[in-house]
Amino acid sequence: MNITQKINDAPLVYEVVSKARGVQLGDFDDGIDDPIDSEEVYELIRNINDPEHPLTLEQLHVANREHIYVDDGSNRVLIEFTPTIPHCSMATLIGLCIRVRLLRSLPERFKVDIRIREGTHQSESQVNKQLNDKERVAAALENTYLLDVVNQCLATAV
Amino acid sequence: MEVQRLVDAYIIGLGDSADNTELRTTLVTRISAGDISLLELVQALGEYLASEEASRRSKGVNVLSDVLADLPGDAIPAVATAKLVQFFSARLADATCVPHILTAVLALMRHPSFTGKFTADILSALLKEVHVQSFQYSTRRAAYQLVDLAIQSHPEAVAKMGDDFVLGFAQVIDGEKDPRALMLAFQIIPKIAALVDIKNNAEDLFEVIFCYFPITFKHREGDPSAISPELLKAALRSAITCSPYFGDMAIKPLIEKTTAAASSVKVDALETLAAGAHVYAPELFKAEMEVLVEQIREDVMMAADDAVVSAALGTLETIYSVLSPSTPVPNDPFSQDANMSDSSTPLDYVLKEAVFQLTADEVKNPEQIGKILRAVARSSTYNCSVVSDAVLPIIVERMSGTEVLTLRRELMDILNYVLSASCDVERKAECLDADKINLLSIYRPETSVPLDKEYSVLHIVRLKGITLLTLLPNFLSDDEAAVALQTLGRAAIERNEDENVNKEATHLLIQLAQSRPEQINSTVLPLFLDALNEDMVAAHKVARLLNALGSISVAASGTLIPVLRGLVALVTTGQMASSHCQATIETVRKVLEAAMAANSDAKLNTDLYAAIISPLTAWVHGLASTNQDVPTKLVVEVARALVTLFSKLETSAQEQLLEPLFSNYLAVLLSSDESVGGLCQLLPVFSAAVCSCRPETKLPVDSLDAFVSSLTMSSLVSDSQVRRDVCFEIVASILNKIKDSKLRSSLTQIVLRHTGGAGAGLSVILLHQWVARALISCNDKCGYDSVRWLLEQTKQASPHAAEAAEGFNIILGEHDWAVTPTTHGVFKVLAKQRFYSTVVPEITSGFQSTSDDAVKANLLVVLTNAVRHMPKSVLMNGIENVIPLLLSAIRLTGGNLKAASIRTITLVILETPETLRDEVTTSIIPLAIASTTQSNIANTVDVRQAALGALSLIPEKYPYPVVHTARKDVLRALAGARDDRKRIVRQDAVKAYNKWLNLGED
Repeated sequence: MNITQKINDAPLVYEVVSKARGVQLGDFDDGIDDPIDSEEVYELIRNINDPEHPLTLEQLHVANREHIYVDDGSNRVLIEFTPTIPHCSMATLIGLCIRVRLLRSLPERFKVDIRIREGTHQSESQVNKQLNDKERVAAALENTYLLDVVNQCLATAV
Repeated sequence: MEVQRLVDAYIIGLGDSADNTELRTTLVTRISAGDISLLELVQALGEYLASEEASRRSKGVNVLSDVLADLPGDAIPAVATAKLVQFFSARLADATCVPHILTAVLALMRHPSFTGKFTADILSALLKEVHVQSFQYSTRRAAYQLVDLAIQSHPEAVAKMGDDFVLGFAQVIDGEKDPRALMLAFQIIPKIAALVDIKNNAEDLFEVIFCYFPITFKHREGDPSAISPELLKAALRSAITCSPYFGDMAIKPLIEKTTAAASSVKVDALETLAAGAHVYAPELFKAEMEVLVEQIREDVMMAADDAVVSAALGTLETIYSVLSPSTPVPNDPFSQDANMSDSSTPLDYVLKEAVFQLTADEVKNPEQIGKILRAVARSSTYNCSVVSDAVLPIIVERMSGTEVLTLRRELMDILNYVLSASCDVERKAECLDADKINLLSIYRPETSVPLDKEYSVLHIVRLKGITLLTLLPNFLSDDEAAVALQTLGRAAIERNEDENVNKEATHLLIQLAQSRPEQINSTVLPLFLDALNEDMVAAHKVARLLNALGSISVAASGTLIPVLRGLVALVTTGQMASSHCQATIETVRKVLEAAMAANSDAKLNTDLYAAIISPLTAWVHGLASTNQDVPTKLVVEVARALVTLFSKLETSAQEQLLEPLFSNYLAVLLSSDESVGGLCQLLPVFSAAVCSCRPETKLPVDSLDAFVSSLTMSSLVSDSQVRRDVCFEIVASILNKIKDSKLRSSLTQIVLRHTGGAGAGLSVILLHQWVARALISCNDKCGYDSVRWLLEQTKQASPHAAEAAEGFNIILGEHDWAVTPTTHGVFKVLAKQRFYSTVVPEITSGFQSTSDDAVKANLLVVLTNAVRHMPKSVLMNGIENVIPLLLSAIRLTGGNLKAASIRTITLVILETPETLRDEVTTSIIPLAIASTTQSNIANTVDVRQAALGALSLIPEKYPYPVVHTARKDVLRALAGARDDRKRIVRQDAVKAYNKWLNLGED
């Protein structure tokens, strides 16, 4: 395949509905604990750039608020993302970007699971396996070229 | 002989590139004085001017041109001008002399003796003999300037030259490449077209200019020429569109250029076509309309670039406006249809496609179709009628035959665009009246459509349609308009899954407020007020409704007072919860502020005061008189609303209103009787009024001295905090506004005399702080006596030392009404600079000379308060002396002060990072890391945020070698901060962590 050719040339771009939490009165009260919730995790990953297009995962509906499950008490996060097309070969890379972003953003106590939303990709189980294998993720991040690509995708998320 | 000597010296000077100014001045003075005649000069130059050597000839002309340039008009007799013109015209054939001749002629042309005949002679010679493009830029510029000046000063002579001139000029600019010269040339062409009949040479002239289209050039940095790509583009455009003779040559190639791939070229071509629409013959456009419409449709449908779309639609509108017949369409849609089918009209190209799309099973690109139809329809009333006639019946028919909501929405969307065109041309199409019932039924709310998010676009489109129907001139009757407004009002108020529907409805009401303010007041306002008055209405809904009402009231002057009256009536009838009352009064204040900023006239202010503030103050007075507990926040909000209006009133009106306020509150203020407790709560309202008086307003007291004295005494003995604060505010405000420094000084003495016997109690400290605030802002040096006294107090082992330090916030900080710019407080320039340069050294020396930790902490509090209210420009001056103290403040203080210190340091890092280069890794980073820990009680949320902000800035401002040693520690600390209990802190920690992680990557 030609390297410049895109897997999905014309993805559907959705309008971003601003649903930012905004500053609330309780935000400055040290007495109130703000547990980490799905909204906060979504905020961390929604601006990650797609590896193919100058569009964010939010605009492409790859990441959705509703598909993030957080349990602050038992330190678990589960993220399901939806590739734009079922044969998207970028799915692993997108998953890796999400993982790296959360590695660098969430408290270390969390165990993060990243999965492809059921029924949205041809090689769902293989990609899921890859993304949740610590060794393989670590090995991927040793690859400087890959790390550069991931960093580029994350540049917009900071 | 002397002339010869001067000339020879001048020529030698030219050869050596020496400074000839002195010689030149001598020659000019001598000729002006009549010592030497111009003829003698020419004679002296004779051997040079007649020389066979080109460079000698050139030098000879150079001397002549230099002298002519400086000679005053009366020094050149008419005969000499004639001779010189003759000479120069002949010499223009000599290429080496051309540059100097052009300069000399330009100088000559400014003299009154230079007649039209001379202009024609010189121009003829220039156009015939000189190959302008073979010269360098300065000469070419002179040639263009010469032509321009000739057109300006002797248009009749130029006009007489006719075709020769046009053709000659076309040849002159042919091949020009310098953008600066092109700019001049393009500017000349419209002048030529206006002056000379260019018919015979239009093609030649057009060819030499159109070859530059589309023009682009890159403005290089440091280029002194004041031209920009936009100016050059505009000059070329006005040249291309300056004459109707260019029409048949320009339109076709311009339309071809609209197919270009680059959007800038497309936009340029489209805009040039639009500019030509009013100049070129309309018939020429008619022939090309099919191609142009097709191209514009493609551009709009692709919608790749907003600039292209808006240029395309704008061009379409302009061209159709010139093609449109000026008479409105006859009142018979059928005859119009017949006309259209008989002979093809330009509108057909748009309408056929639109009708085809509208009748298709699925309407594709409804928004784009609507935009094109609107652009065409708004071009003229005639076109508006034709478009409406063609489109409306189809939409009405399809709407009646379909229940598919998506299709209905798309059709409605297109209809909205067509209706908006009717609104734009301010004349409704006749067919709208015939279809009125159908139109109303199209937009009638369908109760079957749920208020789900999924259908919100449909709701919004319908609301827009209703608005357009209401805006159509003479379309809806008053009753129908009232129903329409009610529908919009309900949509703005009622709970909807998607808040965008509420927002859009509000936005539409704001639009309508400008055209139908009375109906808004009579129909929509009661709906809003009822909704606010309902039982158990949620706070966020109140906020939304108040915002909406606020926006509606400021949109039009007709709605301002009724809305505010309505809101005030809601509050004063006592049916609202007190928290909602406060929000309502806040909205009233914001609306008043917006109204004052937009338009403030004395009559409106007085009316508003009587209608809004008086009932509010009467209401709180009523509450307090019955000894009810009035929340302080509510009182302050009323006081702030009062300040907004009262400060804008004329002096006489203020004096009139002060009388009742004094009679109501002065006794309460001065009394030590606690039985007046209820009214005591309202003293801030009194203070707000007195403090927002104009300096020239006379207070209703017999003697100002006695008044101020009694206020001071009362404040020093009172136990009530409100009473004390109000007294201080009023005293400070009075002192600040006194213009006469002697009077101010004596009054200050009177005030401070009362503190003599009393020790350094809290009241005395507060009094000094307020006096300092009043005097320092008007640059009165007496204020510094109080400041020094306060500084001394901070060093004492007194229980109030900390309060004295904390109170520096009063001296410099913000206040709602006492001694502020909006309430006519006197603020002299450099007052803050003076304070900074006087007080900060004292703090620094005090800090160094003491070993007492408590005193040090107090001084740091003073410093932080001083620093945080300083403008950046003041602060950066000599900041390096303050940095060690600020770092100590971070170590020793907590809460707001610690955060303020960190933020000051951050500001320094942002502005002048090199100042802190040495401290950054040794002190600042460790302190910032320590400030991010949540276990330390001193690290409030604000402190942690400030520390993370500083840490986040450091990698941006310092190079890798300076900060890399700290990276590991910072990352460890930030990893911990990512698990902070507060979300906003975590967010900042993540930002900072990622910045440090990428340190050195760039």
